[in-house]
Amino acid sequence: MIEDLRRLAHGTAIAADICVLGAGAAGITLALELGRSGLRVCLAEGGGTEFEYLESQALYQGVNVGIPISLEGGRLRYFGGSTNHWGGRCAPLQDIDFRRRDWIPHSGWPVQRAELDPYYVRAIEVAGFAKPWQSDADTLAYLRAVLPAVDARWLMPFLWHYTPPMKDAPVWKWANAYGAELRESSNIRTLLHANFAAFTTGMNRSRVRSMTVSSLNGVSATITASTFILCCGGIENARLLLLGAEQNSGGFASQDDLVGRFLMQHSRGPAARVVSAERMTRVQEQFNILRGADGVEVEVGLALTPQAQESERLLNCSGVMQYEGDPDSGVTAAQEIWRSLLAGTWGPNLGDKVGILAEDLGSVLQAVKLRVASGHSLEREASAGIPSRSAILLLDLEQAPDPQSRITLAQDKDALGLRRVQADWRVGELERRTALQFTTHVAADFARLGIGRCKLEPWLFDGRLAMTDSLHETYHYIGTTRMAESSAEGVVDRNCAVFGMENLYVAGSSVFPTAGQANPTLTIIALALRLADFLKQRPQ
Amino acid sequence: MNCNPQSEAHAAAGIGRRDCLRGVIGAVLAGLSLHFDRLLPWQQSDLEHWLRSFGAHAIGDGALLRRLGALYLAGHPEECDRARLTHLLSGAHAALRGSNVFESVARDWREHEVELLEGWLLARTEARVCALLHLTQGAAA
Repeated sequence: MIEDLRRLAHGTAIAADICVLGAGAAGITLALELGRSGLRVCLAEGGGTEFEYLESQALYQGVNVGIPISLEGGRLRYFGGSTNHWGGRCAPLQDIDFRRRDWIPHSGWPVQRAELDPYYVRAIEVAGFAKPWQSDADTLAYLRAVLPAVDARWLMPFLWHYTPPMKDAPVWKWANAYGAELRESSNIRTLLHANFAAFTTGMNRSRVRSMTVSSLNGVSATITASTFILCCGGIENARLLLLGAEQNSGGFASQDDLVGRFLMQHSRGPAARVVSAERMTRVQEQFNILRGADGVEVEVGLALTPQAQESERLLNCSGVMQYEGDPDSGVTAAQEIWRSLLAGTWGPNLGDKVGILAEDLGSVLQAVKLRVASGHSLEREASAGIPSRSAILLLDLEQAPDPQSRITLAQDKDALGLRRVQADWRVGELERRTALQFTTHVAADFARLGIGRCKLEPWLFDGRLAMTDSLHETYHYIGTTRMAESSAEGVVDRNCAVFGMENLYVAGSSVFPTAGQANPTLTIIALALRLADFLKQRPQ
Repeated sequence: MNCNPQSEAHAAAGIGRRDCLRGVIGAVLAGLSLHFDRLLPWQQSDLEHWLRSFGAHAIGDGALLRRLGALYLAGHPEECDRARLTHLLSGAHAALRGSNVFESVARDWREHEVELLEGWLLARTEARVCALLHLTQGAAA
């Protein structure tokens, strides 16, 4: 059932086997897995079913003291969490992402990729894919994509899978997909507008006894459970542990001062402009968003090979092509006319553009057909289908773990009287070197293969320019409650249990010790499924 | 011929007797250079053709490629000499031929012998052809 805390009696006591805080991808996945196994689950979500800007969402406001991050805009505090603005782009982390890399301090997971493989298979289903993914080679063969022979010493094709559209959403959204099951479930009690207010612990602070949740209109409830799981995202998970330690004068992995450290984020942005004297028709059939008749949709790009990362001592990095309209194309002319009309003007050179459009009407009709058939945004489709002579190489860049890049508690308090978050996000020079090397490899290969010539962005080679002025956030906040073998190296153990706490767990990207270059959602789900399996086997 | 594109701005400053002498010597040298150029197995049009074949025309027009050549020479002043560049581009071969240059460019891309000039990534051989074009154009002018 789904209830609204605001409508419950103040002081309501709720008992459950497991309390899950946060109804995003991790929280909903965990609640369903555990609930289906017969356990009594209380799923507490701070927001409601819709975005509430001046109410719940404002609780995410905080202070930036480093490179600014979107504390408020980058996360969504309502049912479904940040999947509500998710693009549906999925890829697993690679083997090398889990390994200890001696050139990257603090790298290495206590689990390896092979251990996650079966959970990735299940995660694909949870993320809405109708059938298991084929291998990359088989997927490309199915899509009839023949890629050019890139230099396998440095580069390899990399595929991102897009979740299929839903009836009521362009990509898979947890609230839309699983809301009905949660509503109908008899042993999952979902509580909306239930914001974390306090933890109470036993005498030695090693066991959470209860959690108090409050609504913004002053209704509180106390949840007692044998197990508590924080699923509130890469920033809030750390904040809640810091608040728990403050409220209880210790515990919550506070002993080693690692909670909140190692804040990372994938950076995304333009690394080079690829130009060609001819139309890039062939390349657009290779490095692009490709679709099969049965709904399979993948984006094909390039990534650094593990060997290149190792030999050149680099982070992980990948790139995709975002095509620019050929000014001589009817599609570009139509787009420019359309944008001008939306802005309430005819725009410059209207006559010329209409002439180009009329001459190239076939391309325009084909582009319209593609957009209508796919149901995706015009922006994304324009990049995929537009006749082009140039493209932007967009990077997705791993960030190195840095203990100085961190989340702490600010002095300001939120509407519930809890200290707000303070972020000190830092990005190092290894990220720039990785981006430069990757882009150089791509540029050299594109020239060798006759694909096009690359002009690299100045931030890659001019150390005076701040990288983050040219790159933008992905809202993938990672690493603040990192998984490790011991409390001296991290906050949670290999089972996502908080060190020093008997019954407190963390799920989400905050437990990733390193970020890889792939979007984190699939790994978040895989780890949530693994944690659910672990908890199901434990006596509650 | 000018290895430093920034120094052109100073050329218009006052002309004295010493400058006149330099001018005469320069003209004689330029004349000799042009004479020997005719003996070389390449012409400016060859350089332009080669660059087009490399796909460098996607980068920009001849003026841009010459500017990139000048930038290359600014970073490699020891190569600021047509004979030296011709020798480097010829490699192990007796003469500078298009086929040799194409092989060299392909090898540069494979081995990442590259130059980053104004953000453009060029094969080193390609950058040297641009440099030669810059020097040749300078001499012709």
